[in-house]
Amino acid sequence: MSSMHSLRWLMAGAVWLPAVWLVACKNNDQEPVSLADVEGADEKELQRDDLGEASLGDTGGYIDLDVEVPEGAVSTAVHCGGFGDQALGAVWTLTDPSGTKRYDGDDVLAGDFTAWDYRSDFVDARVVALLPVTPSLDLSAGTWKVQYFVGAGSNGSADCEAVHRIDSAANDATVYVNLIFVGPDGLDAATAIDDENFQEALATFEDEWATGKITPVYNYIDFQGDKAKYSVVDVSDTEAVEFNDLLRTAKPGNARTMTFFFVEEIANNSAGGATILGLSAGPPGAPATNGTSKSGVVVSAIDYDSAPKDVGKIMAHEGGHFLGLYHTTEKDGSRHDLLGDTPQCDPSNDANGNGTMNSDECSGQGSENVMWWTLTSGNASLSSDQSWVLRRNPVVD
Amino acid sequence: MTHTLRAAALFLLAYAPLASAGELRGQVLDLLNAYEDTATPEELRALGPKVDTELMHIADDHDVPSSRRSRAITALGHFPGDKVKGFLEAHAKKADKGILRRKAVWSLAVAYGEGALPVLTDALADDDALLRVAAAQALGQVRSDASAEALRARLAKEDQDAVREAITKALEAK
Repeated sequence: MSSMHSLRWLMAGAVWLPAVWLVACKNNDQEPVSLADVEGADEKELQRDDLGEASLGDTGGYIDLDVEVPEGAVSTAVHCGGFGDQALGAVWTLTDPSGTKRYDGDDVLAGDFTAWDYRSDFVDARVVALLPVTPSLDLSAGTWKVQYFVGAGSNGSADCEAVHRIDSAANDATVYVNLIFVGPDGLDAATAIDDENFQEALATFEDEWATGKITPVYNYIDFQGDKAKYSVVDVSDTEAVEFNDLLRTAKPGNARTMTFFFVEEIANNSAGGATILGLSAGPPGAPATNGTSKSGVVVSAIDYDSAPKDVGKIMAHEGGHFLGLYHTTEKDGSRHDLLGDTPQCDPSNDANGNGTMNSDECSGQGSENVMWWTLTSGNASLSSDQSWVLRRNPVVD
Repeated sequence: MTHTLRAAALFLLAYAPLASAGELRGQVLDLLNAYEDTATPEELRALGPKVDTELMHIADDHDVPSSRRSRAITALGHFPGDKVKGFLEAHAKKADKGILRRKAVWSLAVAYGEGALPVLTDALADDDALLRVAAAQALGQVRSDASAEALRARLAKEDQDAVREAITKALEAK
């Protein structure tokens, strides 16, 4: 190389090195925003119907709703709640406009999980009926009858609303994601934007959701509430008041966004204080609905600096729950999701006889899926049907 | 030569808990990796008699994420014994991550009840407010007169709202 060439390379280096340095120090042009100023999808594509308030007896009761699904709706979320953190409710029956029953809780209670096009587990405070959560259920326009059952311990009433997304489900969808930083110490909206480890977590999240043709766009937000109280979120098998209260603070300026709270950890005080890696409202959560106990996802972020990929996987998994996905196979193999193209792993695979379907036993039978019940180290993906469900959710664009 | 061998043997004995991953490692970690669930004592026991040893290995393995190390410590609460108790007491007093101390405190309460009171009471006076919250919750699990007395004594001088709330809740639980 001649001296002239060397000089040129040096000059080029002088120009490029600062640029490289800048790129290394600044991942993007983003700045933290307030919750009121978040960027989101077009809320005009949503139609909201106030379904009024229903009365509940001391020992619980049923709520019967007629929900008018408009022409052109790709999804509808009907949520009823405000009946208290101590009461449990579930969707009990679903009947489509032709009068055909599409879900019956009595059957499910009797152990038949497979005959219906819906799934609803008992949850506290607010119940969401999200349609559709499987391609086998067509969301035809007309009057859907939605019945909920709420058990004892309610505070006597429930408020109900339907949110319809009138849009087309894009082949490549976008979801606006609010990242709200409660903990751990050292991670906040400003540091997260440039933190290599946190960005690696987001890259893993993006990679896994890319297999479902969804791209997240982020809003970075500092938590404005009591960090000392919520940095460790305490829950138990019988109450989740702290979890619910944290989610109730999710009141973004644009409701058509999905909110992730990052905390140091979630602790299950019914299980010796065991750490929970992540928890979604629901599932499913209440999409595009602010200020409820079902308005987001909480992620234990204690490992963001040492195991960032795991934090990204937790986001992908819990976010999937929020948007209407279930575990492909439950831990004990007793139940599977409703989707036709996700692999199932049956109890006959329990080679070591411990009653748990472990990832090796279910290799090739679902343990490579984002919605497998336990975190695995390899690349996880979403199926075509899972993508179909995610891309129709009211919060997704 | 003899001295060298003896030193090597002593070194191996001293660092036995840090030995390489055992044959149960994958199966135990799979349970500890569950997104929402907690490994139950039955699931862990079904993996064989050396699960407690594997859990101690995992808890001390810095290559395992802290959340899973903490879950290993929680799970040790289901395997009471002198060795486990010593392990948990050591981690309640000192660990490289605050979360590990919190879980050790909880596990001691679950496994040993009143027998863990001295360590729990010390933890309730620690500088780390999150550890004090965990200690209050753990003492609430013990549900004895002595645990309530320790909680009331701390409440009288505690100035952090989150800790006071945890103590009050623990006292109500009794």
